[in-house]
Amino acid sequence: MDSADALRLFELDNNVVPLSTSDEKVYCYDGQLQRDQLDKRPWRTDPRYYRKVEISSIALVKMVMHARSGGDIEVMGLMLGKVVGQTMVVLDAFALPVEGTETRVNAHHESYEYMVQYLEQCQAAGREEPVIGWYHSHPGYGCWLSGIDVETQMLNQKFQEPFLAVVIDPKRTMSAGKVDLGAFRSFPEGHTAAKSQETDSDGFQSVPLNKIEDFGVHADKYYPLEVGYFKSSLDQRLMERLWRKHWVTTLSQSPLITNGEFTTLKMLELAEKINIFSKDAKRNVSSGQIIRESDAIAEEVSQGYASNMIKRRLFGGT
Amino acid sequence: MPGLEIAANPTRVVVHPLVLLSVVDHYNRVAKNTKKRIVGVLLGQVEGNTVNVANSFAVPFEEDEKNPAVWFLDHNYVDTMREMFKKVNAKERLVGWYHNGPKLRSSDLQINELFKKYTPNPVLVVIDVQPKVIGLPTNAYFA
Repeated sequence: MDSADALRLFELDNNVVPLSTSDEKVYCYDGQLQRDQLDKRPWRTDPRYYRKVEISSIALVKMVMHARSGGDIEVMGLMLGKVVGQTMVVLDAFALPVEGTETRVNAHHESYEYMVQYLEQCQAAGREEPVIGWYHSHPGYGCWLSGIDVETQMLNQKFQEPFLAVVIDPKRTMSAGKVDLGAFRSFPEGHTAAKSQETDSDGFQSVPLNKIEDFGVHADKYYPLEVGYFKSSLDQRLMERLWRKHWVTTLSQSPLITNGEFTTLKMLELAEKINIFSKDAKRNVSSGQIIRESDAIAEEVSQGYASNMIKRRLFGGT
Repeated sequence: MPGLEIAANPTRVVVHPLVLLSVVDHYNRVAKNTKKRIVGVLLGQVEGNTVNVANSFAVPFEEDEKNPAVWFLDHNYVDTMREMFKKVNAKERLVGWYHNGPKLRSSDLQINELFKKYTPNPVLVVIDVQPKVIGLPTNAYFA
């Protein structure tokens, strides 16, 4: 397949939508329009008011690169953007000088100064959108909100609405070839989530054993939003050029090598879960989960092998 | 400071895609349907012969269309942003600046003098946001 087809396939996989020229006014910030929408405070009447989030290509690249640069450590940052009806639009993101080992409460005090300064600078340079949410990374353990995250988000939603929480897993992104990102909003205190019709059939992800309890206890305090990505026509042209130049490197990379360590870790996790399941059926590990997890790992590895074989046949010659 | 004294000009400039996206985004916001020029700062590292540009940020810049000698670039802004980016990633230093051209202009030399305060040998990368030819839309220059 030539580079144009590959690009189209990638865009289809990741749900990237180029904007038509009329839509490009999403990049312009209309302060009055925003204030009008927010004055009505629709989130008070309907806790699930915001259903969708659209992330611009630059915000996505910045967040993923920041998450990846953290390696095994959680990183966090803020997102700038606005709301359009029931959709939240994320236009930019920036990193905060905070490390995941500190407790979150203290970290906020230090980064408040940074945040205020950064925002002032942005206004001067022509970026007027306010903060619309925060993002952080869960390297290797999936996109969901931990207990502390849920509390932070509930606090944010009390005082800084509209606010969004995004979680990125840079390790799974590398391994699956698709950006592993989740966007969430928490329910206000006391709100009991109706057992939603959206079961975890398409939101499935395996959570490591040591975090599974944290995940389970808080899972009904927040809901996921649908995520879409967009880019402008200029972004499009740029990406076409970059793709044309770099398709060789992308093609020659093998996911087996890049993710070798991570795949091994996943298999160890799986082995542990199987052990627990066979010894003590009361623990919160179901056979369904184990099967799905092993399917996922097997699929990724066999994809790696298959693409390797194809490349050898096409380019190897022997 | 070690690493900043270079005897000869580096001969290669590597620009990360994030920088290109940032510049396009900046252009979209500020100057899309105008003839204004956008200017910003490039951050990265100099490694021997190569300048590795990994990040960038926009700066408020004004110039007089009719008189190219009249221009204004906010120094304080550059200082503050540099400090902030240092906190997030200390290895990224100011290595140069960019504008969207598409061609070089007479005031570029003077603007370059300004950036010499931050780094002895700033690189100028002209990024064409409306490219008409195939290939990557960047050109890099040393004074």
